[in-house]
Amino acid sequence: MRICVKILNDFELLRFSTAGSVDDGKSTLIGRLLYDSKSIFEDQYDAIKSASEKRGEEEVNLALLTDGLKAEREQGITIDVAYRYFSTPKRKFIIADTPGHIQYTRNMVTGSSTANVALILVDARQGILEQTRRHAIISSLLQIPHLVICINKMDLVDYKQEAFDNIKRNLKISLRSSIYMMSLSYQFRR
Amino acid sequence: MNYRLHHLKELEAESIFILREVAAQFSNPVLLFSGGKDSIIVSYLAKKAFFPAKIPFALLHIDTGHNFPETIEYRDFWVKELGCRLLVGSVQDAIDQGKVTEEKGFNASRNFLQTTVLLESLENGKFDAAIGGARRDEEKARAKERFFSHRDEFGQWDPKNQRPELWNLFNARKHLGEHFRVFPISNWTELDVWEYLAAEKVPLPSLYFAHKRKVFERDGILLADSDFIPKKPHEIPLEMTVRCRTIGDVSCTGVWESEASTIEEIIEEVATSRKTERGGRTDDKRSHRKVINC
Repeated sequence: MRICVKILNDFELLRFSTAGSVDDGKSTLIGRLLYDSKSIFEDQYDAIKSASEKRGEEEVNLALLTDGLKAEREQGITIDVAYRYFSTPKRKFIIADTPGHIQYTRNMVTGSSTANVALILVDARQGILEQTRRHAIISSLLQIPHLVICINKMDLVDYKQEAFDNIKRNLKISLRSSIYMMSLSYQFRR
Repeated sequence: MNYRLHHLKELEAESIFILREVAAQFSNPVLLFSGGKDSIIVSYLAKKAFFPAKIPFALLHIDTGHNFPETIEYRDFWVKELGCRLLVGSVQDAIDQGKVTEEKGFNASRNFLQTTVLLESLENGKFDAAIGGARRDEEKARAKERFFSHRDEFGQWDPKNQRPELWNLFNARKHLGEHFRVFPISNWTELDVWEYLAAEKVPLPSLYFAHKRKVFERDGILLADSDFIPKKPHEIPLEMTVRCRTIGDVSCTGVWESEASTIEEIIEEVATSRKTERGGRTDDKRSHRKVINC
């Protein structure tokens, strides 16, 4: 028992935010992170499962974990930042899931201001959009020390390397700063 | 130089900063105290924030009259320990005066009547900030709330129109009659709270530790046998070893079967639990629609 407490005590705290344009999958990414790190409690999972079924969706919609306001669920969008918490054996994480709509940019700024890492998602089909650029610029303006660009929904472009490379090239031109690249797909099946 | 702060120390520093900010920006704040672990931790942090001076605001307890006796015993002990003033807003008085109507039926709870009494207490006391122990990990709507959360003159929160809150800048501007709810431990998780209480050796109400109690089951939740809850004929109380994961009004606080009798055992239980702490709160289940709505 004492060992258990000791391990838990040795955490360090990392705050990160997710940003990017509307429907690039920010809330779903967080839902998936929480699911994979086993941070979703049984009663929470059952709640979003029945909510997904009610909406007529075949798969469990993990975005419902963070979109907690009624207006958000109705419109299927994120209006304000939602904070979520999870931990791995090494770190404790505070995630700020920020909205993608231009009208709610101030909420994105609120969520990102305290972040150590900003994650910006890009839909592989859409490429770089206005909000992608805006969020990248805001993140650098806020002096967030690390920026990670995640190219998402790779399954919808059949995991084509060239789709990934294209976006990467365009990003390099438009951002002209060193950014980390990663390819990602989290299509969720059960 | 590699400077690394313990995660609890970082959370503590954040909360203490916010508590001091409240004292600096508001003219008449008050700390909402329920007797649960979250309000205990907030009041404990308040003591730390202003030590060696006294906490510069009073504690406000909204008393439903349907308490566990242990809660009131602890409340009085803790107020003495902190050396601060205690104010009580009584739901019973509001019922007697006809301001609110008590719910009827088996699932009647005074939990919802608390809001009216709270708003009235805030208005009567001319409080412009109410510090609470809500945490973002507790529940989906709370996950969206700012540290400084604005309330209009009717005490309502407008989640679709929250203010920006950048870095450590907190905006407390408001019109006359409006107030703020402030949540210093927004970023703490249930596990953080327990680890901190253990590390700081904060005295806790006995309800949190495993004890023998007469309980009965309703809708999959174990409720404490008490005169305040009318029982259906088939609900026969049995003696079990239980503990509370959250403490509220008797009528809505579910208890859990548990053998955890020390704080270390509680931490182990919380760390391995597959259910949310509020899974045992009947008020949350009832208010699901409202929660999403708010």
